[in-house]
Amino acid sequence: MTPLDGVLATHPIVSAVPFFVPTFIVVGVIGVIIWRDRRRGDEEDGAGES
Amino acid sequence: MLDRVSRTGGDLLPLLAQEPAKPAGGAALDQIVIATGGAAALTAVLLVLGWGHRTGRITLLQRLADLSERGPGRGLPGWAALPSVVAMLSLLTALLGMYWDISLHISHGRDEGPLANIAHYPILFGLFGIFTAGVLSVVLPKGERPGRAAVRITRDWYAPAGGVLLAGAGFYALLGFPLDDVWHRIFGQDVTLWGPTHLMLIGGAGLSLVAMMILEREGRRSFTGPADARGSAVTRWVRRGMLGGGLLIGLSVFQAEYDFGVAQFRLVHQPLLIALAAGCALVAVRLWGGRGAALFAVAFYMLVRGGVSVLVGPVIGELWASVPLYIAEALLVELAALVLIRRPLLFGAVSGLLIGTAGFAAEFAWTQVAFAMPWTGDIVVEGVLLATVAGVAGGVCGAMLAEGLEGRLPRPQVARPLFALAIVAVGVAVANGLIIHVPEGQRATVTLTDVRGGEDDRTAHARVELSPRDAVDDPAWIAVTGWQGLGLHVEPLIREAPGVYRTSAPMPLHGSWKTLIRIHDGRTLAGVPIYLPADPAIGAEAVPADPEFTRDVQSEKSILQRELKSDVPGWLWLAASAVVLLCTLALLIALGWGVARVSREYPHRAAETPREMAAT
Repeated sequence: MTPLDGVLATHPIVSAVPFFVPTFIVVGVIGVIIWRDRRRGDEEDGAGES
Repeated sequence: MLDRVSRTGGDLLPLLAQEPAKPAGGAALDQIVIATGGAAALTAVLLVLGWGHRTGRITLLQRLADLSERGPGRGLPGWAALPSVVAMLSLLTALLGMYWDISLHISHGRDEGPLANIAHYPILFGLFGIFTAGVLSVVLPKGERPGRAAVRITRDWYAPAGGVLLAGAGFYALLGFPLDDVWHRIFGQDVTLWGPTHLMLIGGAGLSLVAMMILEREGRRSFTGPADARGSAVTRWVRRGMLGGGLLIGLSVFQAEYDFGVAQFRLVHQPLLIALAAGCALVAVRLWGGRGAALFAVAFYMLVRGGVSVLVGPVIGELWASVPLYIAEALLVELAALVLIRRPLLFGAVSGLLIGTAGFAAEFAWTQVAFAMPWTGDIVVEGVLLATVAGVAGGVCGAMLAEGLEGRLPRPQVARPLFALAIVAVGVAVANGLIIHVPEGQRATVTLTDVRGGEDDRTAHARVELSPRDAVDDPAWIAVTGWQGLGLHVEPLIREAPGVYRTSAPMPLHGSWKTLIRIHDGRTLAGVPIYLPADPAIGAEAVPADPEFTRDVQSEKSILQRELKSDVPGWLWLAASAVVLLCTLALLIALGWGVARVSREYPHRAAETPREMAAT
């Protein structure tokens, strides 16, 4: 397929997917871990995880 | 052998000459599918390894960390040793990709999409590698708090501040990719390195060196291994010299347009940027590493940047990027250190002053032999002024960086205003450099003498007569530039009489070449198109190279960056630039926060200062 007759992604965010989403996912996962830890902290304060 | 005029190191692929018209925006879907698959696999590997390490199910990361602790990361715990190795390799990959990519753009023009250009892959992998290195450093420490400056993730998980910042710098750089694409959609492709989003890509990578320095500091101070595994003073000197040299490379990437001889901005920016990079990196590394570290950093810089230039030029067969010398600057810094090493801020300022003046003179001489567009008398006064401002600002920042790493940062009431002042000073200097003037009512009459006359290989000599004759007196440059014709042709014109110039080598006037006369004198920055092909994708018509013609001296931007859309409102450009500026300030402030944090948490210990002990 030559670029000329190939389908072009019509939205900028689509073409950005491979560059941006992986880092976003990793940051998101760490963010969720932090959020869960902080929420747990309110309920069982001081209880450590093994 | 390198051809000085065409500046190519080998034959370019002739097949590409028949390529069809290029689309001017968007990305082919198949490229996206391939890249998304690869990126998803990388993400999955990183997440699985991280999860496995933290739950104790997969020990690969721990084994790799142990391995690098014994090897190149000697004297650092695994959570600093492994990320340092990964980040260093990633940075080298990204650097090679960057110069390769710029070289391709200069000789081939714009891309057909974010992945149509092979050199984008090393950039993508390199930047993702930097981010990965930071994440590794966050994930690795288990069952221990990685030093006092560590940042709390959960109640039993702390991450080194340097690791968090390294991931942040990588994230910032990768953020440049999607923003770049959005930018191209709104404003058209900006075929210059100095597009705001392009600066994010390279700036994030360059500044990640500061995060690596912070990580080194945390790692060294937290190392609990046996004394004989600590690494000698030489190991430390070499590692710090390499980090300083890396910072010099990172801060020098902004000069790339000048290195290739296709600067689209005023020439005074080049001494400014050289002085900024030299001031910051060389002062920092001399203070941090000890005697001779500035010279070693420049040697490392030469090895890497020279190596990249050789790889991209003669080996891959693309364009040659010249390299500023920096040796004189390193000598000046070492000399200043002999007298002022115990007064770091003054040492930084004086070094910057020397770099902006004597260093300018040395680079002035070097550009005469090494650069396609050598410096001329036209830029001396303003160049020295801007270089001195940038050198002093860089030197003071470099001094504060090194002092922070050694646990001796001046108190916040001093350090913060100094840091802010340095950023503002450099900002004002750069902004001044950006102010240009396009003359009105000037014309150029060009007479062409064909050397080869064929449709596909036409080249010609030119005689150029400016009107009025005194339009240009002592120019920074008056040159022919031809690019995007599968090569680069940069050649200063020879002055015959006031206002009359001629070429010294035939210039290309066929195919996809874009050939123009470039005029730069003081704030004047303008051009006269000689030959431009039709470009249907952006609705641009051909500009033919008739045997004799008279054309206006006009704005270069409309010739060099024909892809830019002209109907975009100014406020949108301002708003978009402001977003990029905010991201950049956020990164700079975060790095400043990191330096202040390690300085506070690891106050100076008299026994470890490298200043008193020469590297033995």
